[in-house]
Amino acid sequence: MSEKLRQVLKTMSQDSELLQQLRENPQEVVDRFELSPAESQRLEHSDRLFSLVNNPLVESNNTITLHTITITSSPPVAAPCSLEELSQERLVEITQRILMDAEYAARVRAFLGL
Amino acid sequence: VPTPAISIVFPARDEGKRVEHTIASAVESCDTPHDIEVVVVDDCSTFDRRPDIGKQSSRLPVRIVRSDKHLGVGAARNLGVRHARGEIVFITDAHVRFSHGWDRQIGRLITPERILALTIRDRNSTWRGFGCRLAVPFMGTRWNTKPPNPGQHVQIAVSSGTVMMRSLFKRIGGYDEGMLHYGGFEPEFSVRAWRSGAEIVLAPTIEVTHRFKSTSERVAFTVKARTAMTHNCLRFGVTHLPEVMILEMVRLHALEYPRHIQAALGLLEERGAWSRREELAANLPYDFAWFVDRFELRDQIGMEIPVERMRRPKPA
Repeated sequence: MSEKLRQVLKTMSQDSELLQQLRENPQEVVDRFELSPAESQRLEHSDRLFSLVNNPLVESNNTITLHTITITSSPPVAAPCSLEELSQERLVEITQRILMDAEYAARVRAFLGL
Repeated sequence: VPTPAISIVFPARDEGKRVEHTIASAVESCDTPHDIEVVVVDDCSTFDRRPDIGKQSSRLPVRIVRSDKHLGVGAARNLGVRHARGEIVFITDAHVRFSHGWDRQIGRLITPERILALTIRDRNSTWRGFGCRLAVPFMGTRWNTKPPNPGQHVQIAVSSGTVMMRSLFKRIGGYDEGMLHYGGFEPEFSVRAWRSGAEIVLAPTIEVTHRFKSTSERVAFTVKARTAMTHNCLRFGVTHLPEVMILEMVRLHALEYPRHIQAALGLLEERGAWSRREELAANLPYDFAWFVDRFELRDQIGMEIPVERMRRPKPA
């Protein structure tokens, strides 16, 4: 087991700035902790992964599925990129969630560039 | 008291009368009620929403194990199985209905090293789920929604319909009690089961009809449970993923749940995720690389999962 990796996560649990670096500029984290080229590559990969899978307008794109609360709809053929493309039912769901979940609201704002 | 063949085990938190309907469905749809018992774990329900079993205890043995502390679904299921007497345990939820002849079919399909993943139906639609598959590196899951071939293996058995010998549950070690309250228990248990040498097989003809939460219930629930859910995903990843993907996983969660990630990371250290990783690596016969190979698993955007460095010789 890599003690270094454990230390990185432990430090992040106490250091908000480091966590912000991880979110916004992971290369700074790589440099500070002298992480391996493979870890650095995976962090770069996470940018691509996040942008591809994290469309907050598509519920079935959510990367976590909870068994007793799972969505039952099939994934749409083309992912919507604006509110106009949503069904009325989905728009109501999104609005409900925005009102109850500030973090989700922030993701929708960021996704729509508001 | 005769020993039952099957113990139905489920946690109930504020489920009230729904528990009676679940038990009634189990009795009315089975072939041999005298071979069944029910163990309900009351996971610290509020007084007026405690499990209500009505008169069902006159039809089959029902035991309610009460916890005054909120255990969460994993620990509650483990507690229920510890109280179970049946040779087979049927893990499910408090708000389900069973298909006809479910006990006879379980008897036909079960083997000592096999977990049955039952088909889950939505009560309000025609939707069906046939087990789940893992989303790496987020460590979430996705439903299999296409009807499978009978006897097909699946990566993950869903908790509302998971059946195995009680001895197998014990050998795998039950659900991970290092996780908190809700989220991540079933996929972690399933991956660990595979790594323990068990198999998970779909039982498409045994159906559990489940009450899924509405959108507003779901959002209200996840808002409250988000830190625990984030922690559970991180713990799942730390205990099984190749090390090189762990920081990537943390970054994904940090981007998606910025207000919860720090507390979740604190819990990760506090609840011993790293020692759990070492313990599993030392004791399980198969590594995560084997699981990746077994299901030809790719990451969430179809890229290869870098397991080469964790690969070790396969057990004889």
